[in-house]
Amino acid sequence: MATAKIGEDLQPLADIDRTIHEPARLMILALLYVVESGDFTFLMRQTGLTWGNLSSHMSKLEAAGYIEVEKEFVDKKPRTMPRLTDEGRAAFQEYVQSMKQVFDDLTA
Amino acid sequence: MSTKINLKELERKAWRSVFQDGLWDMYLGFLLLTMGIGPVLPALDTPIMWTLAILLMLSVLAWLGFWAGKKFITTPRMGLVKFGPQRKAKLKKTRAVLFLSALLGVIMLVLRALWNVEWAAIPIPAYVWAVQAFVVFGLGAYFLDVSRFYAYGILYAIPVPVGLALLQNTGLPGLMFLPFGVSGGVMVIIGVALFIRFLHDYPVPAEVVSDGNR
Repeated sequence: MATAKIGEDLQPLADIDRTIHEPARLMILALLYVVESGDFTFLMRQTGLTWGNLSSHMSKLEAAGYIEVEKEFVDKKPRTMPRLTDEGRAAFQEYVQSMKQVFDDLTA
Repeated sequence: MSTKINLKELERKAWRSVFQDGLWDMYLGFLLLTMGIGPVLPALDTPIMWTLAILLMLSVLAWLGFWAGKKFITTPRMGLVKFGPQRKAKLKKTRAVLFLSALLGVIMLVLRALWNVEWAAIPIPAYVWAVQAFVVFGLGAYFLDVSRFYAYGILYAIPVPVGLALLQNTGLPGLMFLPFGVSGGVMVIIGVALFIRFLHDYPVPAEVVSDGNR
């Protein structure tokens, strides 16, 4: 009985979006949440991630539909600028709210 | 977690990273040095139109240096970022303030050059300049979140009244360059120091091709 009650209490933690709930991806999404878009070099500088690490996490976020990569030409050279999708923005907001709620409930 | 994540602070930090290369400091300092040359050239019997042409050329050179620095040095190291609507709105306000200020400055420079008026006899524009410089840089510091621009407001405010006071007391137009040289020199030195530190802290990432793509 006690185990079932604990399970229910901890269920919100189990429901956390695992795509977002990884430190590197959380950093990337937090950054893209506060700016309109930023290229790989910008994200790398701000997060401190290595290029390979960043690329790997970006692929996962793109696969989840949370970011889209905007390709544009600047001085006839291609440039990629990742940005949050509407889905990604909503998912991040939901993640922040649910984390706040989870810890409020745990510490109540 | 040892520190809270503040999204507003995160955006502000990303924004401030744009100003850590020292290019703005060098540019603004160089502009001030250029302005200081303005009173000196006529004293060397340089024709007025030549004086204006030289000042304009130096200002354009300063801008070109700033632009080239951002494009070829800063952006490959820091990357490219587009900020959100709130920051863009603040930028618009800053640009408007700077444009009006520049316009007023140019008008005053042209009047000075064309009329060759004894400014000491008409001290009001000097104080207008000082107040304007302080207000413009203060607003710039506020909207751009760059606190050292408050100090630059003082550095920009001082040279004109001090230069005119030197002219009034010594009668030597060449001495008018002194306060501009000191103020502008301080800003350029700060800019160079920031620039050197920036180059050291942010080498071009090995993975970056010239266009910054992955």
